Amino acid sequence: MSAPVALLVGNPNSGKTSLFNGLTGLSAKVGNYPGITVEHREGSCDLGDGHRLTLIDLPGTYSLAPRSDDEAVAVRGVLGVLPDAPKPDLILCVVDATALERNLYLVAQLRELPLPLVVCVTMTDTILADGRSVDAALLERRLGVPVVATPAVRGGVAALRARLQALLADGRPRRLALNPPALPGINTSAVDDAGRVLGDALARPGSSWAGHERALGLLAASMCASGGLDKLGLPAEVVTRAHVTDAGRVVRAVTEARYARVGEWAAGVIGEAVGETRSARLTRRLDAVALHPVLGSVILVGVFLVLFQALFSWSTPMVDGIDAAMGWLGGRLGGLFPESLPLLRSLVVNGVVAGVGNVIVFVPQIAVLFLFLSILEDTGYLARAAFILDRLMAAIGLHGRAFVPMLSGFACAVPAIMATRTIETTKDRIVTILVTPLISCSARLPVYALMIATVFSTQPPVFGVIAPGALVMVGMYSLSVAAALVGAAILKRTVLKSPTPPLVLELPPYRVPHAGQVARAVLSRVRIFLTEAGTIILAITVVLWALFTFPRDAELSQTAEAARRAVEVTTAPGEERDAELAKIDARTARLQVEQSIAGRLGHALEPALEPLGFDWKLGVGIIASFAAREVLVSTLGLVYGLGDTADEQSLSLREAMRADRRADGAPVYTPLTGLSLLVFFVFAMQCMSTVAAVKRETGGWRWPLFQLAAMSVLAYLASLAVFQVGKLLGFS
Amino acid sequence: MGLAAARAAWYGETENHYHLFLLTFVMRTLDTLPARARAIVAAPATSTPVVARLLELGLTPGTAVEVVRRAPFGDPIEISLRGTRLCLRRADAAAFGVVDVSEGGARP
Repeated sequence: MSAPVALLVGNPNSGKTSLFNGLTGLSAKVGNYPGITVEHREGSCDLGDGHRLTLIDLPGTYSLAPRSDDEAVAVRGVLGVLPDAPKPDLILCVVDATALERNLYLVAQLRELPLPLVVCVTMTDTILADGRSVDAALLERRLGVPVVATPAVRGGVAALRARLQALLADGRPRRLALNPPALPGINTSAVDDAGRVLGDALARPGSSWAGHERALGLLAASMCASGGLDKLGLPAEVVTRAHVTDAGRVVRAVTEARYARVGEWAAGVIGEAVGETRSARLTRRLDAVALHPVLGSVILVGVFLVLFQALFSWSTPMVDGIDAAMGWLGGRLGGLFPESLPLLRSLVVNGVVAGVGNVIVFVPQIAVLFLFLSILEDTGYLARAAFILDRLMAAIGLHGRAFVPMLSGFACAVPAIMATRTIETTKDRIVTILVTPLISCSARLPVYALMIATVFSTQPPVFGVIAPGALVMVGMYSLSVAAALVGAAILKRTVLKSPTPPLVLELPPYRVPHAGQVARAVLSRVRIFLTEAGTIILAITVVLWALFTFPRDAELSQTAEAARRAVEVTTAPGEERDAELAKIDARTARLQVEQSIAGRLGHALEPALEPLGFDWKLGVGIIASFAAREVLVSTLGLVYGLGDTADEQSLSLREAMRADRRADGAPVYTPLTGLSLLVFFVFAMQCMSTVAAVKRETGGWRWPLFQLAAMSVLAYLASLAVFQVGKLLGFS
Repeated sequence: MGLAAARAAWYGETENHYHLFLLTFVMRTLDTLPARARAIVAAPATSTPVVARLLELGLTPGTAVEVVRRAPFGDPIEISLRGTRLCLRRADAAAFGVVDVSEGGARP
């Protein structure tokens, strides 16, 4: 017999997640239902004596009328219409004792439906710390369903476990419904009709909603008033037929009636506070500073500066460490292969190990960002940040929570895109995901630095003092921010047309984050990235390796081998010989790249790239830099015959680029070519890891491919415009 | 104008126009209250999805609210009701009439 299933529902910030962690321990896993990108977590709870309970943590919701996709998943779970979700034996509704009335509103809605409900009152430790009492038994008598009180954190779940075990041993909990409140002056027959339609649509084999038409009709009315009826995944015909006219009036009446009921339930359950409670005083004092008109903005900037600093520099040692470790691992593994198997060796070292490196190199930044985000979220500060920033973000038409992802985009788009998860409305989330890669990330810096050093550092200062390179750098960053903001505004008015997202935000009391919970959140993000985006990144790395490796030229390697032997004979061992050998290797690598598929593609692309001022070498660089933008630099090193170790600081690479000439003898790298290439890299997607992250976060290939195409076209056109207009104006 | 009329409008016992008239010309609305003002909310004039959500979060007629502060840029506002704190935009708060306003009272 499989374990019974319990659904965990409750308001956001109600301590639901810590209760889930307390009940399931380390067994929890993040999952998705088919066709739904919203995540839920599932774990197994040991009730003692070998009895187990499967617990599913649904997203938080304030009511059964969903506004966001997250809430819709919770409501669909409760109503038993989630695809592939097991039928619940128990619905465990978490009620935050510190906001009792608002939390009991959800209970009032659930009580009107025939559901096996158990109520769990959390945050009782906060109440008790204020010297107040919690009377769970009184609440149980009034509600007519089992009520258990638990402190939110650490070990308070023993009583709940015992109670759940007793309930399940006693057969299944009863499915009793309260009559929905009477609604004077409301045409209830229309409501009942809608309820009948909804009940037929929700019915599953073995379950029927007969006799609960009024409750379901009121649910339909609530959903009509909040625009959520189509979020349940029901057929369009049902949505039309279940429509309640004048739903606003029905909802006003029923909401007030439910709150009247809630008032009766809640009266006297929590002891009266004597004066201001400790937690309220703490929140008031902290908010007086954190939301102060002047200080508040200063603190906000400070918090995000620290976050930014952490993403940009604190994760660098870890990233460098991973690079070094992968290099070492590649070297060791390479040494294991005999000389007779160069291809297999290259696949392992340059394909697989490099690919794994490409994946885990993102882990430090993802971990740092989610560490900060979890702490900010759990303390309650993230809601305050949204409160301060709402005016600014609403002016762009974006969600207040789009700020953190867009800011993180300056460091790296991959963690930034994963951080869009906090944005409730799908369309606003996708808009943010689509524009975030336009923001200049740190991987573009080496490209900017190389081009500026190569072509702009030799130019005279502007107005005698400003270095042209600095001006270009500022220009590129401004261009990228402008592109992201304009892009968001255009998307909001066209493909993802939607109104400015509404703001109704709870400012939860400040709380000390729980270390275990933060660690869990970080680990689960890292795991999702490694397993879901990681496989795509690894696969593309191997494909790119193949593009640069095939076809293999046997003659080339024979010539190289002969040349090496000749050097070894003529030159004595020492620095001179090493330099000669390195030169031969670099030359071989250049010739190999030139005749590889990628090199041929570069040549084939030349006619298309010429109007942008690019030659085939840049074409090859652009193909290679799809792995990651900074790869452009090392690839240019390769095609200029400098081996694969060149970086943006490399003087010989700058010299080689400056010395490069076109067929007509003019230099390839003029300021105009440099500018054109820089603009190209501001706009172009050129990052397989971002594509993989977008695929994971949007749940399909549609948006990442749209984004890749749109950004590539934009980059091409912008670059074309820069080069051609520049030429017309007489620049070279 | 008192709570009785607001409740009557709420239950649809009076014409909706009368309700709108009250909200427009007679009654103060939640968005006009300065920081630290306390009041009792009356029925909302409209039933937008945001208004429906605010009702579900406890902003029902007869509920005591306090405007805690306005955001640094003047919008949105933070209100306290039923022991919880919410923030909402002033455009949405304008749908709610308020009665029994007391401004800038000392904290209890």
